Amino acid sequence: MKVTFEINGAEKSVDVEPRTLVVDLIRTKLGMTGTHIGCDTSNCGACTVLLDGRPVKSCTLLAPMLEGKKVTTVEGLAKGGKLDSIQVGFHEEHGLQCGFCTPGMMLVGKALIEANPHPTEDEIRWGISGNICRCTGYMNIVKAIQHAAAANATENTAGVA
Amino acid sequence: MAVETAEATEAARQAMGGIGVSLARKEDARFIHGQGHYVDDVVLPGMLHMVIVRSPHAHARIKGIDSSAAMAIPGVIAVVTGELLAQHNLAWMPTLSGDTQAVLATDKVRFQGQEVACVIAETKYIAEDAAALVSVDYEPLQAITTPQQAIEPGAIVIRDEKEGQTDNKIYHWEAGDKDATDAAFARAAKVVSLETFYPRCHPAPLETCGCVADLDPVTGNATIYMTSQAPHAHRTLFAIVAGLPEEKIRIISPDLGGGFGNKVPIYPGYVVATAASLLIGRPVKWIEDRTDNLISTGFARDYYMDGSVAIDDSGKFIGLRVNLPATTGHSSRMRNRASSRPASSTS
Repeated sequence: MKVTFEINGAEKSVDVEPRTLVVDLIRTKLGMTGTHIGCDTSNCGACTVLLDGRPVKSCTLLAPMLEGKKVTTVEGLAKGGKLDSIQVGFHEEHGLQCGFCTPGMMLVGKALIEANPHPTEDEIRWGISGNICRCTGYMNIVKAIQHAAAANATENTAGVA
Repeated sequence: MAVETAEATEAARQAMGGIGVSLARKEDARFIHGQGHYVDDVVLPGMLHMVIVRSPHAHARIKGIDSSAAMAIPGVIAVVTGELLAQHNLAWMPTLSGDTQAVLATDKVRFQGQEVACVIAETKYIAEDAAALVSVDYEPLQAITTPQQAIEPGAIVIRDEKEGQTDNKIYHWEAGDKDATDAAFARAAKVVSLETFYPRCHPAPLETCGCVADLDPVTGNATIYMTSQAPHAHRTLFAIVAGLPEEKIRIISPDLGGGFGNKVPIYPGYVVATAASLLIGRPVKWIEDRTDNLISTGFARDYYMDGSVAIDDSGKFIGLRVNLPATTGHSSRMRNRASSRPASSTS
């Protein structure tokens, strides 16, 4: 069947079996391998993408559910060669080690601070509770999201001034 | 003056090779752009996909395997069984610690989750569909689930294929000075003992194990992309199993999505994917799902620890005794013999 959606700002129309998982569609059909598979069961969050701005586990969504929606993956974070503040935060605060959970963590973090620009540490920890990291631990991931929130706040203030 | 001091300190730190200095990680750029290159990102022309059929039983005789329904699905290329591997002398392989391990079960299964057959197909979805249709006729045998059961007199022997193996002990290891320890306990003012269970844990790297095996039918060279923490040891083992010289084998370990020891042992999936690539003449990808990873790959602990400390009247520790039966699983896959842990173990 044909499914039409927008991914990272580009419209796509693809033929897929209805049972195709969104993560397989993105990785195999579209060749965008930044979205990872860690558990197949919505437990680990390595496959997290944004669907109309909301973080979702793409390993438990079927391709037809994308019809008419907007998807953002890790490949869509940087714009015009400029890193998103969440990417800068993860780099500056050493919020990653092996990098496997990182795309999901960054997307969850981005959605969190867009909905809540000044999250508390507890709110950040709650926000990333659906995503597992097995290397670095969560201290620096929390700091990375705080770093991005602070950078966004500074930029917005500068914009107003 | 203060500025000069700070600069001098910074210069001294740099001169020391980065100690005390925050260094930017070289890997970050590709990881934060989603441009890492993990084994499941490897795609080769003509690549096939492999899925493993596993045993639901901890111990059972295999009376027969019927793969006709699986083979009838369009897109299925092969169903590999232990019987087929045995014809190529590949049904068993050595482990990194001098034990042996079944690649695919032949006579019986020896642990729950053991690899029984592999389906190779044009896509992963087709391979999964077909794996569900492979019918294995099992005759369940008595299972052993604790080291205490394993060492009971008359316990059923799991590794009965090993010549001279009459019990379930895989190894016995002792360290220390027994006489000096006995003497310390004899003169101790106080002895404190603790019996405890240190449960099994699994490393569970976020990226599961997997490989893409590519045998060049023209040159006979094997290129194996795999999530390996020990590519050189794996090359040696592949050479032994395949009977190839090491220079014919190239192991490429790309970005690793965590390892924590889980990616040191060699697993049957690597061997079957490589053999299948050789026999079919196309690259074969095998990527575990999370259940595969948790049920069949290397774990840690599972120790029943019984320890005592001898203490003199000033409170000083003068002796330590530890006895620990440990479950190693169905075979010894890591370097247990060289372990620094005092251990007596059962399979």
